[in-house]
Amino acid sequence: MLDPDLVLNSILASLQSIPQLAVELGAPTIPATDSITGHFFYSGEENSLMRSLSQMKSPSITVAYLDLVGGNFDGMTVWKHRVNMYLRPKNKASNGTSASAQHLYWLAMNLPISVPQIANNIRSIELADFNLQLMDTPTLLHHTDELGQDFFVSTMVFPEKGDVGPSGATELCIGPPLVNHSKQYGTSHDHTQRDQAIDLA
Amino acid sequence: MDFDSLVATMDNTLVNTFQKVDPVEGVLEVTLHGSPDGSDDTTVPCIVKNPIMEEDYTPGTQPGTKMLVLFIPASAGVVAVLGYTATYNGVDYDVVQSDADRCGGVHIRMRGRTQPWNT
Repeated sequence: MLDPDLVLNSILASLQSIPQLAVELGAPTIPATDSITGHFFYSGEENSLMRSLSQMKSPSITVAYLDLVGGNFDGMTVWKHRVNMYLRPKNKASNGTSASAQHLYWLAMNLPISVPQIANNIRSIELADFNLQLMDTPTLLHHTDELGQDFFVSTMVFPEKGDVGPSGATELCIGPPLVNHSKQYGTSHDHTQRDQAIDLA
Repeated sequence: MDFDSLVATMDNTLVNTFQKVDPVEGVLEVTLHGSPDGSDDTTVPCIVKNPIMEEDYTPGTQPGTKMLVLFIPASAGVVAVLGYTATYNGVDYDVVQSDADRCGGVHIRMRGRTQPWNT
């Protein structure tokens, strides 16, 4: 069970390492660490997410960790981390080179990153020290805020590899070692072997 | 002065009454930037309107709103166009909506910028 803050910081660091995205958001005048920020739900220090979104300056990107979804998705996946990315593009009228929100999203999802290491894009690397699987194919959606302004939000889901313990090692279960999978459901003899293992436990 | 004449002066009367006055800077006016080089800057009087949604201050941040709504009277003779940048009280904004009333006054909604107005 990875620390959600660690997951969010890992995603932020990767997004901030995309030079083209940083430039579109105002670098070098505004460093990427100021234009691509996380919403951590710090009580007393941060606004509610809704208020933060309406107060986002342009251009900027806010990434918020929303859900830690638990479940037996398959034999090795029990946690999924859902993170939303909110995009406010630059004023195009005052700067003809400015891009749309959708283009910002393309920059974020499809251009090379250099953190935690050089990779084709953020979708093709296992983040959080390789404890996350590749993100599920993300989606970009249009939204309208309470001021009537358009903005875009992308939902990204990162399945966790197994159940990561505090040491970083996967701790999927505690119990007798399972017999080889191919044998486990093979013959009646193997079933007996497995039953004996469970009885011993 | 008859009623119609009084009504005709109402916008300017309201602006003169309700515009903000800084103790040091004097009357606070909005500067509209129509182009990045500042060649057609226009500084006009305005009233700060009630926000659509009030904003709260958070620890460690500078006071001030990210979203600002202004009323500019028709007598200012300007049309704030969607996409202009603007400066009010030392803070730079993007004009994200510009609504004209039937008398020629303008209501502009502005969003704070991460960068100076001319970048």
